[in-house]
Amino acid sequence: MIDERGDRCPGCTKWYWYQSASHTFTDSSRTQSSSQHLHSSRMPLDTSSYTLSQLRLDGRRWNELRRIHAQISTHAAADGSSYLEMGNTKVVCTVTGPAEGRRAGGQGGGGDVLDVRVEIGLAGFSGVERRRQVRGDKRIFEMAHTITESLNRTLLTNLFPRSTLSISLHVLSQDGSLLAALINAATLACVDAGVPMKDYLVACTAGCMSAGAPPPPQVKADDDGSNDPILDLTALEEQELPFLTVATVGAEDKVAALVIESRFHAGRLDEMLAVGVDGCKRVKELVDEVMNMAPKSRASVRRAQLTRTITDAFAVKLRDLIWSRGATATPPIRLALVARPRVALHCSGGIFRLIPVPVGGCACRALAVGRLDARLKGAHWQGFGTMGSDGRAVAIEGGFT
Amino acid sequence: MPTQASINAQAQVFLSPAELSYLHSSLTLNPAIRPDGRSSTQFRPLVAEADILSNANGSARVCFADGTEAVAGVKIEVEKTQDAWKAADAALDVDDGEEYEEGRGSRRKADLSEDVWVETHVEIPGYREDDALPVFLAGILTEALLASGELKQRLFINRRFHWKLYVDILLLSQPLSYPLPLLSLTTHLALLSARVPLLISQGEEDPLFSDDWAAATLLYPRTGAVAGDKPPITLLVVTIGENIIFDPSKDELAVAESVVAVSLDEPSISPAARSGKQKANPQSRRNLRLLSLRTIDPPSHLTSSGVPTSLGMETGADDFGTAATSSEAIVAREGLDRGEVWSPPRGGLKRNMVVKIIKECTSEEGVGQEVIRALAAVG
Amino acid sequence: MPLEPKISVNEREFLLDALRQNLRLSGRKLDALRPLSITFDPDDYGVTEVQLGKTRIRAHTQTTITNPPPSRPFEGTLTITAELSPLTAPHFELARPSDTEALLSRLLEKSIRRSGALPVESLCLLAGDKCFNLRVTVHVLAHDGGLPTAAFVAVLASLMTSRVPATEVRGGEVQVFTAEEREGVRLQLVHVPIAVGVSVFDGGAIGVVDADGMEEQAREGEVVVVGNEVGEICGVTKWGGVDVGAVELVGMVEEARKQCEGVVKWLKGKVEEEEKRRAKRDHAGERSAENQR
Repeated sequence: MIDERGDRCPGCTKWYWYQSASHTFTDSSRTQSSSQHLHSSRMPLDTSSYTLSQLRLDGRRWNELRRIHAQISTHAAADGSSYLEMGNTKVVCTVTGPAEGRRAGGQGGGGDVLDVRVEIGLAGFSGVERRRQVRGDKRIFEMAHTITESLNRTLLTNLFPRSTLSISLHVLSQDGSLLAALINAATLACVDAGVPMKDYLVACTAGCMSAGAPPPPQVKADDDGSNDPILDLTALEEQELPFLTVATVGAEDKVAALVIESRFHAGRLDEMLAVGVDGCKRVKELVDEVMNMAPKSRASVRRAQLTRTITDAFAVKLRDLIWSRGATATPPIRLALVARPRVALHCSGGIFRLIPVPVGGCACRALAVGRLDARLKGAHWQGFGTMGSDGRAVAIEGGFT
Repeated sequence: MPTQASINAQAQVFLSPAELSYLHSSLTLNPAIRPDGRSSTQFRPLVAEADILSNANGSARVCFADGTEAVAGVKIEVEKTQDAWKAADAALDVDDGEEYEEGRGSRRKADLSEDVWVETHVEIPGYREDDALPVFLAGILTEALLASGELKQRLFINRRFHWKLYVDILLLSQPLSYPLPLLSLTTHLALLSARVPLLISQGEEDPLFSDDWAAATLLYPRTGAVAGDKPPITLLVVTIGENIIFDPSKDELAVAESVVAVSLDEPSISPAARSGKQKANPQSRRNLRLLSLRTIDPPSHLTSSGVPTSLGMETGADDFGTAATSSEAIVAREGLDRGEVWSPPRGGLKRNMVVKIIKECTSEEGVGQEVIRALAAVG
Repeated sequence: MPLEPKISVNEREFLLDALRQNLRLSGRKLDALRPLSITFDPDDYGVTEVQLGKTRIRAHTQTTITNPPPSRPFEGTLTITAELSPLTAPHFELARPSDTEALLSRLLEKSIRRSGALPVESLCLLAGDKCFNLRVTVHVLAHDGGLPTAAFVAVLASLMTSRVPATEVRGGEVQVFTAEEREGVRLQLVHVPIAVGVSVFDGGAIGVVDADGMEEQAREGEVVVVGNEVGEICGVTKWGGVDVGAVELVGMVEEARKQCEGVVKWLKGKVEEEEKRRAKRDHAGERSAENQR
């Protein structure tokens, strides 16, 4: 479905026609050169090797992704944020945290690992017809649950005990592949927030032109395209065709989440999944591109500098502190430098999180979260010092239970 | 005009009495000295874009300088008019298909159109949709939209059908300061960009629309017979001393003596005026029309007063007891002169201030015009 | 608020160690379901109780006549709701629906409704005016893992044995007959979807069919497969968890789907048996009435 107003996009001057790697079952004549890129106008499709009937309703070939446009750091007020378009599906994601748990008391935000919370809001104007989101919609709940569970295994949640990461997703426009778009947007925003993760969690949808049993291999030769799997479905295609949403971790064939809600012959699964996983690889490259192209704001550069200064000096400082508590051997100190504002500092079973908070312009507060070695259990210590070449004041404080 | 919702919930003040006092005194100077160096009528820079979504009839996104951001979408759908008796009544009055002619017809449209044709919803993260704040904000915005009555007349198709206008506003960030002006400006932009499909059926037929989206007409046309009027805007104005301050920041809200939400719109050129001055330029500046004015409970009410150590809590109580005369006792009780560093304002708005606010907002060179001009440039 | 009792680190390690040697604590094979049993309420239609190991689930179908939704005038409605109450385990609260409950409801509803197992068009009585509303309530009586499997068996058995009242449409009026006047009509299912879960352990290396409560606590991920008797997949859900290689995942889905086919076959046999028993009893009843005269 080519939307009549779809080709105008704020903040973007590019048009992409993306194509995933060819999947194994097709003849090589269909494999097109990858990732063609044009400016400002709709690209005339090369249909010489392709009859019109084998194009999809919006003019894509079977293995083409829709145009993906993404940005990070779109919201100044959030710790991490992203804006993602997959065709006409548009989502905004803001991330707050990792921060102290929202719920008071021992519950919530507690535990040994980061508590990931996902909220999804469907805007009333996002669909074709205006519809208010009903409270407690199970479909939305399931999507939020899927994103939470997938991120739980992809983020290094053990680095942030007793902390909460609130991810809030807003759907501005829906046109198929909603869950996939939400997952991709959440990943981008988490990277932007500086939450360490194993690899990108990326997702896309794959479908099939027919739900029946796949034809035996010898029939493949005079294939008319009616048995083809297709990549990245629009809302119209999702209504008509069986499809799946698959999320993978990084560019390998590691499936983090798989959601199928339609009925089709079991023999179709592996080719659909193959196309879906290929699509995820392509999405991963695009996400990488977005991260590389993300403009570095002056604030983020300054924060990065500050972070580096602190990391260098703090390692020494902390070791001194632990020594002074009577530790018998130098505890192994591992510094995990996180992409942006924060520093995670792993130290012998205890986790320290440094948050450079510019107080009065020069002082930074280091917040210790978690338990230290059993030896130091119950200790409460504090330290002040200057560090770095410019003599920034840093207060280090920790309270352990 | 007492209001249910207050700013307090989301704008907790973390300033010391000394800081509050400093802010307050510099803002009472003439001219006021604002913490960020703006003049009292100057707005912070904002980012705005219109017509961002293809799924909605009209849409807009506005980013304020403090990081708060909102997206508004306008959906316009055809709906059957429920009030059959009204329609039947009208049918008795009118004989033929000429009922929508100028003059008499437009009055009829006004009679038949209803407030329920416009629905506004506000979504704020962390709030339920039936919480007081979103409901109250949506109420203010709807009230402003309906005030002139021109919008709902525009939604009239025929006696049996009308357009239903849904305005959904999404606040994407936490409400750091009072989000009303943000939401209002976003709605304004979204409505400016809203389009309705071209009606190709006539009179009382079942409505039929042109498939050509390029032929769609703007809900607020910029040229043609009814050009001129614009959707309303709601501004937040703060008074401190004798000063009126527009677009208050969080700090300024914290010391505000009163907070006023002013809804304004630009009236369309009346047919009479148009016939009188044929070459009346729609671009010329005109006075704005005041739609509503309501006070909002400022967060400064909840700040605690700063009492010098010499007048601690225990001595503070003594003040009342040792007052020599009754007038001194009143002064002491009312906290008008207690030698405090900071005393939270009592609220209330002087009459001359109201006049001043209205003048500042509505005059043809005023702030309202400036904002409307600036937003018109976005679309 | 009572919390779910968690298994200890030692138990978890032991269980995982055993699994690495292809052993399960229950002595089952890795790809074996626990024994399933089903009982039908002898006096009522559409009331079933299913037992899978220690998990017990009761399902009940109720029929009412309502107005069809205006957007779909030619269809009846089918709603399936799952309930986990303190009866199941103390950490399930009535006031606050748990995630387990919401996910189970969603799984049942999307896999049975979206796969079109029961053609909702057949529930229409008078287009745009009257239709049947089928409401299946699932009560979890005891929870020891494998909720999806037990719930699907219970719901499908309930639907297969329930009766909608016989009706007659005369000149735009619907006449509904009571069970005494005319025997109710059996529902015609297009296919029978059944769910089987594969739990994933050891970073995606081990897949275990039909995990019990303890294994569910120790697992790192789950793939729930809904399959039917004609070799179709009606739904697959892997809500995150540990990542599994695509090839292994396809293998797990195929493994579970085959199990589904087996369960459907067993269930169909049980339902036929029950219907025969009912027919025989009803028949006997009629005969005895004649004898009395």
